[in-house]
Amino acid sequence: MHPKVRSHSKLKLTIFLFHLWLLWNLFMMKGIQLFIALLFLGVCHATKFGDVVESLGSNSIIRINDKNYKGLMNNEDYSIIIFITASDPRIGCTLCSLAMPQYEQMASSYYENLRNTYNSTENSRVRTLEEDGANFIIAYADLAGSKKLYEKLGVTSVPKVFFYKPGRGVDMSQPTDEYRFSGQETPQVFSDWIVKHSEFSNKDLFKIVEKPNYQVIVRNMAITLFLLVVAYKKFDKVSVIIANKRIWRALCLILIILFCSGYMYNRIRGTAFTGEGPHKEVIYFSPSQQSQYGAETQIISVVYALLVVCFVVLMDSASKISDQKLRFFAVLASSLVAYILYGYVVACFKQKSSMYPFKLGIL
Amino acid sequence: MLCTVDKEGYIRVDGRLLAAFKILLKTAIFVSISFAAVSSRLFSVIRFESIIHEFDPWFNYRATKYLVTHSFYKFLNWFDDKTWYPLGRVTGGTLYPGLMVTSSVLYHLLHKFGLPIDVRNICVLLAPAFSSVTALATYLLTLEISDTVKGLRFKKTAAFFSALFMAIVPGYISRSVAGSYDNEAIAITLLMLTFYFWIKAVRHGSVFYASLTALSYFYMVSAWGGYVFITNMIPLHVFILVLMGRFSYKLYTSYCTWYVLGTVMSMQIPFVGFLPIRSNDHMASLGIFGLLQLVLVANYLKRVLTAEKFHRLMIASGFLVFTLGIAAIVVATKVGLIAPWTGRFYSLWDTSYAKIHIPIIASVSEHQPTPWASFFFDMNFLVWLFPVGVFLCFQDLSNESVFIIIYSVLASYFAGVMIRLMLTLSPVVCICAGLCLGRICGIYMDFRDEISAKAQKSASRVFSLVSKLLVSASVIFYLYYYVQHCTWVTSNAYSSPSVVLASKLPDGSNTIIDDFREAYYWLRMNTAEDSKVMAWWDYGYQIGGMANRTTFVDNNTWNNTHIATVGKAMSVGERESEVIMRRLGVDYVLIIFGGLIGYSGDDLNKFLWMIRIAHGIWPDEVDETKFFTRDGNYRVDDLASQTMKDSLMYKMSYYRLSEAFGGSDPVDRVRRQRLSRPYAESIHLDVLDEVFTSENWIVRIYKLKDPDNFGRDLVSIGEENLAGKSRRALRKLTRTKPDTQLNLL
Repeated sequence: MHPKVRSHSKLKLTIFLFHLWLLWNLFMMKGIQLFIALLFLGVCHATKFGDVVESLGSNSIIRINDKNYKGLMNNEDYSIIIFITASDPRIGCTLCSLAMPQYEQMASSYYENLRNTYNSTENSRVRTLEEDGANFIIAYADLAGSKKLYEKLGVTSVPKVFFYKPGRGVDMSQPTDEYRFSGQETPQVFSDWIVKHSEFSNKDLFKIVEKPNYQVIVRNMAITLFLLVVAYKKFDKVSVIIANKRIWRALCLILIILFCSGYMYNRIRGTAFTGEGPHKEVIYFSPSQQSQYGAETQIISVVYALLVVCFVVLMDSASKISDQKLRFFAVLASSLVAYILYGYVVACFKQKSSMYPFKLGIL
Repeated sequence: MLCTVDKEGYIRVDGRLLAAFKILLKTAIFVSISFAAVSSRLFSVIRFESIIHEFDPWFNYRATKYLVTHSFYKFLNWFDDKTWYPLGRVTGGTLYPGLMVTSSVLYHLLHKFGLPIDVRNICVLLAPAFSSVTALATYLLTLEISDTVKGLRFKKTAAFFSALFMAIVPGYISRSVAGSYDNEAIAITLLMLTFYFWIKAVRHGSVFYASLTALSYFYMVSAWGGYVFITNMIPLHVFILVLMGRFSYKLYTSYCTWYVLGTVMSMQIPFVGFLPIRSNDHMASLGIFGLLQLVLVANYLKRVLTAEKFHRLMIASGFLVFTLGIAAIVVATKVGLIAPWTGRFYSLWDTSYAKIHIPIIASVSEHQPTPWASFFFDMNFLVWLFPVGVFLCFQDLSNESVFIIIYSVLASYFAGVMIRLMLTLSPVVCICAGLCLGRICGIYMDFRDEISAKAQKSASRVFSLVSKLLVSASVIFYLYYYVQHCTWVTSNAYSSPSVVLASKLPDGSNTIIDDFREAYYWLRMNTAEDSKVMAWWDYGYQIGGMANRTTFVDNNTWNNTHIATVGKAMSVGERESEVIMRRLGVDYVLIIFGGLIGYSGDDLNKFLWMIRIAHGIWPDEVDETKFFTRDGNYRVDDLASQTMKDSLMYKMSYYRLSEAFGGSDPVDRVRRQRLSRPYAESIHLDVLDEVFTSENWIVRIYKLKDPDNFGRDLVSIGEENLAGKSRRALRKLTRTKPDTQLNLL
């Protein structure tokens, strides 16, 4: 018999025996023996996944950029999921800013689960999970600092979530699967989507853990405590401030003016500060009546505040200013300024709603 | 003598005459304000006709008709078997009856007087009629407030201004044009009335006014779900007054009277039931009720005990209350009675949380945040007079102006978060703007000093005359512009019934697209009275109201599974869909198709929602991605995905569309896609018969075929027929061909 063939068949026999042993283990469900067997398997594979997880430290998510993508994508032993986003407000991707925290929460709870299983048993437990397709790297990429990566990925629009099977990350422009956004992403939706791609993996790893943000809690408690102490020690001064009508008045007026000039819209929608016109110029007023830019709220709220000042002057000048001439000029100036400012508001509105037929005077 | 000329040249008029003249003038102003309020809401009646608008009003209208013809108790026990077939809906227990009761009372009253007015006309004109009452209530409320604001010389002027603003402010008109027969139509009136009585009660500490507050609160609860605003507004007012150290027996009397009476009365509404003692929306009012008792006891003890003892007692009891409260919260949370740290708790304050975690809030356009342009659009110059009015309220912080301040801040926050709540903001904006203009008028429109003979130095007289003229001219100009703006907004934005569409022809002339009513009327006249019509839920109320036929799902979206069933029937192929439709008992299928005329709100554009909702219940059977082409486009032409082409909705929409285009390729004008003619001709339906298509093809109605007499599958019969037809056609062609050739030869 040819020696080469013989050795080959010997190898085959070994593998066969090994598999038999594995099966027996599975059958008996002896935890420790299975563990050792899997450990054996794990050692056989590259240990890269463990390295990546270790390199993560206590961070909640891995960021891929131009520097590290080659190493991360070029692998054989783990699946990779990338959330591709552009957080720059100039791009104005609302869906990105909505979905990113959800994705991040999913990722952090995944790594948390992973670490817990890693720490609870011996160090090598992570490797025991390293069956094909069973271990995942959850990462994200932001446009800033990853221009080259985005070119390689062939991304033309954001957000996207790409999934690569082990070994498929080399061919970056062709992900194994792509997530389809519905606009109603929750961490659970993302993790369900990932679980769909992992027949082998431990589903418990993708359980979403809502961990309380201790940092915020401690900070809030400290602030409350501090305020309470201050209030107790300096009760007289604090009560003077609290009972001060002017402070409350200013607060209420500012709040009302802000709310009425669309502040909450910006908060909720996370609008861009300015927009870009057809010739790449900066525009401050969005052309539609249904939307707005952040700058609009600032401009309009300042104009409203000035209008309020003008009318307050008109109302109070009669009693506050005793000098006839001064009073006359105050009235004259404030009514003229009010007229011009109001005309400006109307002009801004007319710009946003083209059908609007009215305008004020010169403006 | 009623009037005399005295020595100095002044005309002295008798007091009685003056009083009579004042009343006459006031009445005249009120009549004209009411006239303005009503007439500016009549654009849609004049342009179209007296018709109920949109969707929800059709249900209210139908319920009103039921109430008018049946007794009140029957109405409360009404089980509607004409909707949600075969489940039905416990309608009497799931609606706010206030609106219907109001119009039925009006109906019976008018009939008593011998004015036989149709129910429909009462329903259409109810909102404009109530808007003039709102103006009156705003007048009264502002008058109460202005009594307590310093430096207002002409209190009635301010009140009249706010009534005028309220009458025509677009933010309120948007919900109260003639024909929008919805709960908000009377709710704002009741809101203003309740607040008026509340202010009265607080001022006088009167049980009478507090009871009136409770009564109008009860009316409000019966009319609109937004009553929660009052339920939280009044306790907040009381709480802040207590914090400011303004606790008084007046406050105590009015709050306790209102709370007890109002809560007990509100629990009489079947739909509200035990909510006032269970839901956390009502917990604030309960808490304040308890707090007031404690404050009362403390007040009493303060009088009885010495200062030192009282101080010690306060510290001890404060500590006790604090620990007990914390313990109670912890225990209740552990037991599971309350869940204060859940998403609902956060969504009140963190709006982005609500947006992400409660998708229904994110999806409905009425829950969108408000950009500044909408504020300006709905309130014009009131938007910046509003803070000036609040400034005025701060000058003399009376209990009443504190109320206005709280109302302003809260309502402007809510209006900023949700565009729909502009409705609750507009009244307070009108009140504040009225106060401000009243003040301005008191200063600058009073020319008595300048005209009077007792002149001062000429220079100062000229100065003050010029400044007065300038300010009053600009204010009058702003007012004129306000009226123009409101009229334009009402006429252009808020007066479309959406049941009847107006459109412009290429030559500029107006036409009216009346397909909806045409189709509903066809249903009413040509189908059996007990036939069941399947349509997407948007049209449920309209079919019930206009066609009087049984529907499967409607705008009261209480049963998601049922909606998903209809969605599935629309989105799967004919064979599967037939099974679903037979099980449901469908007789007719109604769809909206805008492709021919370019009406974008049609069913194919809503189709994705049907698929998504069906997907939520049957994830394996309906898959959204399959309805898109491979490159992820939503196509309806020849390149559409096969699942799309097979779906019932698609087939019903494009069936026989090619015939409308003569020989050329049919074009879908909404989705701007062109179907090739042979393909469009090949779209066929086997289980449905087309029975009606409206003039502009907007509404298409199909009838489910009866099962085959021999028990054969309808789809295979259809396919056989199609094949047979083509065979026959082929045979005919081969047979006739020689003939023609012969003739030619």
